Amino acid sequence: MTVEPFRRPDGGAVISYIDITRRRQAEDESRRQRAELAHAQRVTTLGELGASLAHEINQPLAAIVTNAQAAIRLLGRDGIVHADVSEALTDMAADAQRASAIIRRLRALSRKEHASQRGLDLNELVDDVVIFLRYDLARKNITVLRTADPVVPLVSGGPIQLQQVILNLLVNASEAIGNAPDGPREIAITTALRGPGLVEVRVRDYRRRREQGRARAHVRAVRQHQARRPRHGPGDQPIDRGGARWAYRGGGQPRSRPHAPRRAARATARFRAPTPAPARADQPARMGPTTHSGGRNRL
Amino acid sequence: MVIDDDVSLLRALRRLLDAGGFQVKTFSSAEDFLDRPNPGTPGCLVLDVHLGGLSGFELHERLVAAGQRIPVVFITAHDDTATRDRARRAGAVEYLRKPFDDELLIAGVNRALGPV
Repeated sequence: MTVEPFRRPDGGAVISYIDITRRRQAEDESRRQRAELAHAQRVTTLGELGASLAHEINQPLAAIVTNAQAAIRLLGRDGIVHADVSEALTDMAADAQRASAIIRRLRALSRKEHASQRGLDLNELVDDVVIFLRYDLARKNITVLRTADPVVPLVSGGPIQLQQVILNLLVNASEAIGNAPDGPREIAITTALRGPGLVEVRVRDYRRRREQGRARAHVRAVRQHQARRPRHGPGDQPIDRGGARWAYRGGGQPRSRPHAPRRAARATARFRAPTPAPARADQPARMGPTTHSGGRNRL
Repeated sequence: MVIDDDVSLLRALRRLLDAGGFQVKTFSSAEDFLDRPNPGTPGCLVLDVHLGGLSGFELHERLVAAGQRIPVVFITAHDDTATRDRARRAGAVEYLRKPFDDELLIAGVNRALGPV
């Protein structure tokens, strides 16, 4: 709104009012689109870089593995028995394989595979993320308690997005623990069936009471035709791809609650399977409550 | 015959297959392989998919077109569904993602050399 007073003794003014709400909205929208485009380009570049990097790194790794294994065979062929040397060579080959596996996982996470897939096993997705974070967790001296319901229905969604959500939950939990000086340093990850077609992934971190805050994150898959959408709060990152709407609510830094009752800080992610998929009763029980600490190799 | 554009891996493969009791000849490109005066029909090709010039697939197609039916073990550091499918369509005896295990390679070569 602008006011232009007349320079006349009898006064008066021109008051003009232009509604720029729409323009503002359009500007905001165009800014948002530019940001999305820039992000998409970054992701694409990262994905391509990841692919060529994986290729470049796997070549020397292949040479290392093959040389180590050739050396073992050459020793054997010439009848030379040297347990330490053989073990060193075996370790060398195994470590190069391990490095290659890390590159592969990294590449999978940066790949631009956003296509929705059916028949995803959440247990496998969670396990992959845990393996991915293993060294970071080991460095922070955090143990992962993994409990998996052996019979969870398969879900639909973007596998990489799902893993990123799980990754976020785990990183939040580990950062929360990382700030606590002592006490138990454990993260419990549970996948469980919660009613028909509803699979829940729950991430809990256990810290000492005084440092306990609350970290909570809800992740819901809301099918587009559903009228109810999760309320958005600050820090929301709604992503809309592959037909499912994901909203990541809250789950930033844990809020400090000095008088909180003694309980674990908790982050819960729920994934709703779009169709009640048949339960996987045909699978052998994968894991009871099992524990693998972050430090152990498991590939 | 082993064809791979990574000379370091090529040397390693020569050592490995040599230790495995095979007669090995190595080439660092498809062109290098084609330029050589016919060294006798090889029993098996260990062929990298991504070579500097002509790709492993292209070389294989040329050999097939020329009437040479040589069993192939494809190796690649660039593993994806498309590459895997193409290797399968090309009738690969084995398809290995780098870095691969020596047991798998030697088993693949044995299968390629074995009675069809």
